[in-house]
Amino acid sequence: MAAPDQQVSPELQQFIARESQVAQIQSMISSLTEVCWDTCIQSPGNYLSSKESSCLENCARRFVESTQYILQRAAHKADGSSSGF
Amino acid sequence: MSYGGGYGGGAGGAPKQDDHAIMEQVKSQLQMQMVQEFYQTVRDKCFKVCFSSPGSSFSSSDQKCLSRCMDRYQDYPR
Repeated sequence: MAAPDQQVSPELQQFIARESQVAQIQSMISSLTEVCWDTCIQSPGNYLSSKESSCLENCARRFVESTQYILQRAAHKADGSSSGF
Repeated sequence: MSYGGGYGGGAGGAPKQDDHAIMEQVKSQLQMQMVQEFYQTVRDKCFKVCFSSPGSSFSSSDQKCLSRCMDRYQDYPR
């Protein structure tokens, strides 16, 4: 666990923030891959068909947009009311 | 949400000031992690519900579906 902020240098805080962000994005990509596989690939062939490719592309884009939409809406709600859910 | 209960003092008595600061930071980080995991679950469930055949744009009806889904998912534990 991180030590109190007073003992952590700005460089280290920035490092932690950056690495956390990278980890979050990697986690999203990992979830996206699993969900979009289930959605778009029914029976894996010898290559991705154009139907599968375009489904995967749409799915990936919509997944990222959905993630952003949900987080923005959640943050907006948190601003308006007390925390807790 | 609060993590209840007192913190037992060490052999010397009351926890040090540094320990208190660390305790608060740990509680806060655990809370943030919980909230993050909650919204990841909301995202996973609601994406599957609302985008069973993903289209080529993020329409207003998609937004409404996600909003509705989010609200219901948050409501139902109560």
